[in-house]
Amino acid sequence: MAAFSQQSHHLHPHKNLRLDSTIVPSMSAVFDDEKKPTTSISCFSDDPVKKITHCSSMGAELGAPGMVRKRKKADFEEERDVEEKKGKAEKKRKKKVVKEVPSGFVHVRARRGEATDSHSLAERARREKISERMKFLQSLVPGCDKIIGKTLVLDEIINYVKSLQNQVEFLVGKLASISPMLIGHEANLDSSTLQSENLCSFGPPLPSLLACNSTQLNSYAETSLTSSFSLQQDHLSSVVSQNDGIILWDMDDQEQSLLDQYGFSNRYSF
Amino acid sequence: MTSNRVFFNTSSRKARCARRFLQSLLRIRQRRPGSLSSEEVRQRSRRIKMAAYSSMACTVGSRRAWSRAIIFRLQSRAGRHGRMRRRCLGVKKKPSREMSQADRLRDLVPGGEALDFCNLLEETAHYIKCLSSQVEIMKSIADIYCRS
Repeated sequence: MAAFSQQSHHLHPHKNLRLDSTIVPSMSAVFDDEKKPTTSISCFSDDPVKKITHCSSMGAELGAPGMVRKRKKADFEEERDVEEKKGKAEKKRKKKVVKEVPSGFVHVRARRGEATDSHSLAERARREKISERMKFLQSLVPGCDKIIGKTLVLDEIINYVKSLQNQVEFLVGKLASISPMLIGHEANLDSSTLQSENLCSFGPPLPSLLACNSTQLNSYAETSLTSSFSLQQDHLSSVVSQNDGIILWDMDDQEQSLLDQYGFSNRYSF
Repeated sequence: MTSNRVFFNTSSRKARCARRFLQSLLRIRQRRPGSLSSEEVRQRSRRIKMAAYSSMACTVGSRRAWSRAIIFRLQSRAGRHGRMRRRCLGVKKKPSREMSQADRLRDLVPGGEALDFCNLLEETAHYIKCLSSQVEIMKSIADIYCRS
């Protein structure tokens, strides 16, 4: 504790703050701005003793500089009671003991000036979790890394999920239009598939997707009408007949490279 | 060729999902060998869509909220009768103007209605992964038929 008081005596309080913030991992930019205003409440008293009394008079509302607190949420209330009963010097000693928290708890660190009652700690942990997941989602959604701001990122995620679902719709329509063609019924194919697609599509579809829907389907129908269908049927039956682990269809290398291109081979884990 | 076989032999989730989907696709075709009307085509595409989502959900199992929701929906629908309701898998038709973003996301992700925001984000991440891999599977299947 002597070291701490000396430090705060000689250094500017803001330096203490900086030292402290190097220990604590920085939060995401989204939630950072909520914390900054509260950090510099009790920094401007020269006398360290006075400052500490000020801190303790505020109860446990303000974290002392240089101290890293790890607390379990549920334990906090009784711990505070104990702290209030004991004297100032004892309290300082105890805070060092508090550092060794048994593993398996949720570790929440309070920086200087941050509220340390259990609700605030829980809320902070929740925000950290949310921002962490948000970052993960940002890494998943293409083109979402550069966007700053929670609402914009959420918008982007929503749009991406929608577009994926629309793609599934589109591909379902495509596959549904393939199956009758395999049998040989080509009549009113385009119109019916497009119609069913429109019926099936929910929400506002992406304009690019819609645009490619009609054109691709038409061109696709034209090309596949001219090709042989019995061959395709053989393909599909050969695919499904080998159902013991080998889902490999007897195809030429060209098609396999196509499959590779579409990512059958990059086996990332879910 | 052999290396590709090795790749496909791996029991990755994607491969299992593809296999399941192809099997159900073949079953659909066997059940209804020929179709003429647009009603038939619509029914077929509905079946294929159900197959797509169910293959996706069954590969994940009941570990996730969204897959549980999809499986439950499919089961309850099959229990009632074959007719599918207006509310389709995955997406619902609802005006989304007055809802917050979290609610919109809750509507998009199946089974997300009961989740809090934190878990919703986790479910969304998993759902996005599975959905994009399903899209890739379907794309490659469609491309095979397109080319040959």
